[in-house]
Amino acid sequence: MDVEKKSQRQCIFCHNFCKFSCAPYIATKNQKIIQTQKNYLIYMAEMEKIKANTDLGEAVYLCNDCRRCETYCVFENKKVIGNNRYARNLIFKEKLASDRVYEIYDNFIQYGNFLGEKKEAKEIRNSDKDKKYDFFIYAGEYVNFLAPEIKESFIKILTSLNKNFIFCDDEDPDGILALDLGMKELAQKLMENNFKKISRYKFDTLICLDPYSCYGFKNDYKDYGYEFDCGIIHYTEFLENNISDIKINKTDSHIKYFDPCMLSRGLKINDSPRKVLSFINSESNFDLIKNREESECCGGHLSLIFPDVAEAVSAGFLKELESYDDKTEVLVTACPLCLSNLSNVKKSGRFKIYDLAEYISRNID
Amino acid sequence: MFPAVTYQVFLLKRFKTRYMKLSACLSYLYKKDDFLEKKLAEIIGKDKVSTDIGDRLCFSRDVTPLCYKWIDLYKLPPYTSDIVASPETTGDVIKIVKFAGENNKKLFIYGGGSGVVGGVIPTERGITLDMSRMCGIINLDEQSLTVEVQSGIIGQNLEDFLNKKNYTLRHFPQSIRSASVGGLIATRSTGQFSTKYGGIENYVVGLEAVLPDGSLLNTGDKPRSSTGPDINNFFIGSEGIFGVITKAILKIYKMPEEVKYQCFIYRDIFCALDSIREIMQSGIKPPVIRLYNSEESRLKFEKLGFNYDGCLLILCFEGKKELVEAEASVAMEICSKMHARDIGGELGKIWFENRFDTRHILEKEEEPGGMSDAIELASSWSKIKKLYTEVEKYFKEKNITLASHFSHAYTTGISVYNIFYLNAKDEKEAIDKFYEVWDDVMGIALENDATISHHHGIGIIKRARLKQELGKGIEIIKKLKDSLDSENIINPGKLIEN
Ligand SMILES: Cc1cc2nc3c(=O)[nH]c(=O)nc-3n(C[C@H](O)[C@H](O)[C@H](O)COP(=O)(O)OP(=O)(O)OC[C@H]3O[C@@H](n4cnc5c(N)ncnc54)[C@H](O)[C@@H]3O)c2cc1C
Ligand code: SF4
Ligand code: SF4
Repeated sequence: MDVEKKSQRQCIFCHNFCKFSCAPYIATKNQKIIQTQKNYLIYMAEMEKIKANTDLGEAVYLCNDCRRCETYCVFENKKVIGNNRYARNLIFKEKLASDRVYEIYDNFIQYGNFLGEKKEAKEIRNSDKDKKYDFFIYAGEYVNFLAPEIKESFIKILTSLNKNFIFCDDEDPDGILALDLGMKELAQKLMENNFKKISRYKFDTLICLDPYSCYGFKNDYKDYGYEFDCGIIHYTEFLENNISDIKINKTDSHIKYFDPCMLSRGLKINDSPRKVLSFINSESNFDLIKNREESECCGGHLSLIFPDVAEAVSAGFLKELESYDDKTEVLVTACPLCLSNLSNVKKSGRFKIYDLAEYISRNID
Repeated sequence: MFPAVTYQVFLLKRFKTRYMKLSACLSYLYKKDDFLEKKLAEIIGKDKVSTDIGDRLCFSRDVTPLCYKWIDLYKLPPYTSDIVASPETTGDVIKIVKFAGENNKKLFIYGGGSGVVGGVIPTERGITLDMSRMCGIINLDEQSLTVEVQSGIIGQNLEDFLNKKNYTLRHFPQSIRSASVGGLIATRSTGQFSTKYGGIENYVVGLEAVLPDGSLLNTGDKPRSSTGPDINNFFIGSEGIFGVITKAILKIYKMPEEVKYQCFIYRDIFCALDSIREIMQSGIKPPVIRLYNSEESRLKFEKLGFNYDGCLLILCFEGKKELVEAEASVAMEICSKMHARDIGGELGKIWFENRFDTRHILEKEEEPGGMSDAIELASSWSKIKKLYTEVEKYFKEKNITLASHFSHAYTTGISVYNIFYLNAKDEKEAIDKFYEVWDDVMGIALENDATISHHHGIGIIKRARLKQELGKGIEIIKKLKDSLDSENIINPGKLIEN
């Protein structure tokens, strides 16, 4: 049995103990989002016992790939992303996804990005294809379009450290969003283009500003046969190694760290951002009550397709935090989707929300 | 294609009740009941009703092992309801219940769908009442240490909310991550920390319920009263037949200051049982007492580091530090007297961390011709050893793997949890064997004055034997049902046979 089929069957034959953890389910109460039901219905559709329909299509896309259910899964090493991509690929091909999904597809085809924006690529540094650099910085689509402040801040940090780095001046999408949305063939093309483009430059380490790209480069690219011949790290790991060289003004605001799902559950990078924070702030514990692999959800890529649900998820998180925590002033995270979703909450209460790169760069001496 | 005739015969045999032909079942799956949809949408709002086939199928299964077998056999549950109604307020529930009564539509209540006795599976056509949107936390009373919630909230979501404020429910059924408060009350559930805190009946301070005629009952938040029989108790374990529980006021606790585990190995399971009895009757209250027979000790704990020959006893103590130390030393003295080997607390902590692991059961359900279930019996101390011996002998004779443990201890008796793993040549034979095992073991329980269900409830699986356990009691339940719901609108076929 192939991996996806086995995983699908585990979810169908399950006691469903991950149910409580699914933020989009809690926000919408759409039973078909949760893994056991979604996989049951997809299986029955595959067996031609029911006809898949747009209701199922909607539910399949209402899961935001946060992987929180994996943390509480009764089966060890569960990979629900495989289930999700499998289900979405079926739904996408059957034309049963919501219009917004097909719009994103068209945007990729026409404009080369999910938003459909003809954005002028800004050249940060002159790039020389023959020169060897220490670092290649890949911002990723979410950073470029939803949270450009992360890129600006990180460049400021690198510049202050006098590092030898390069930004790709016309970055292509990494294909991971397309893959997550069930657009397998398109994703493969995007991955191939991006891989070829990045591979034209000479550098030692690929620093990703977006945990989704980082996870994708390390795992999905490999699965599709595109293996980078360099180190791949998330920028928080770079900061951890270099923070002592940054001249920084310490802050004493009460900070908590919001673990991004792809960083904590996907890449298992939990200590780096905390170590960086401990350089800048005297707080002894940056943990929210649900932290690391148990961390709560910001709404993830739902904001691209179902912004109301994404807002319900992130607003729900902030509202609850406000109800039991009267000390925290600043929430720091390390993901463009978390930053954008949490900041987009219309009433984000008393919290100031920053990405870690942004928070460091604001406090550079 | 579906083997329609076989399917119908199978259903007739299984539920001993009338079912429509499978072909009819399939056709109505795709046929919308326009009247129901239009009317319900009018009274509670369009976005609270669904006739989508996916919704109806999802809400027509729980985690009864039979449901798993149906997936491979027929891909469909025996029935789906015609429509799913998802109320958000008690007002919505009242409207739906009244509508069902006036139009003679059956109503099936779905809480978290974690039930293991088929409580949510429709037994005929009708409306499924999905309680999941009624998940609000209404009031946290920090002086009285109670929390008032809507009944659809999932247990773990409530526990997480309380933990953030430094409180805890301590009603920890293994299914807390998917069960709703309403379901936990309706099935008279118990938790893994029950030996100190009791079952759900010890938590419910008050509740609100919509009765089958659409009227509202509210029992308030009094700590106790002597004003006739306890009305809360009509609903605790009612499996929905007396009405829809819409709100509950539950006891909560402050987070324990200290938690300590102690584990012992016994050569002889009966010696271990005697120790538990003595611990319970000595006046101390460890929240967790779990005793695994040697097979289950190995099966469950070998991969977690258990390498002893014998039965594992896990004890947990929690509360104020001084109290924990005092209780632990009383228990230690009792166990040492029985020549138990003290192995420290580590395995207890490991059990706690792995307490949601049900892989061994699920992997069996998923096997072609495989089936597994847990039969949770309980009896008084004076009868438990005979019950245990006879059940064990039965499974040995049938050549069916059995793993047992004792948990939920009382001063007067204890519950024994028998997990069986059976093999058959195909799914149909597995289902037949499954029913045979259940019936035989319930027979053994009844012969030994034990209960046929310590905490999972009756649903559709155990109905046939209920009369034998309750005697006259079943007539009281039936009369109550009849006087509250003469048309048998709410949860027909659950708990008691139609
Ligand atoms: C792996 C596993 C472990 C389990 N461990 C335990 C355990 O430790 N202890 C334990 O007691 N049980 C346990 N159970 C059984 C099950 O979780 C309980 O019976 C639980 O109480 C069911 O709650 P639910 O919300 O899922 O109810 P459902 O399955 O949705 O419904 C159960 C019954 O209650 C009725 N009902 C639901 N909500 C309401 C309401 N609001 N008003 C009136 N009637 C209602 C339903 O109609 C149905 O008859 C376990 C189950 C599994 C699968
Ligand atoms: S993710 Fe794990 S716990 Fe959730 S349904 Fe799938 S197998 Fe079950
Ligand atoms: S990945 Fe996240 S959103 Fe998707 S089913 Fe799991 S918990 Fe829910």
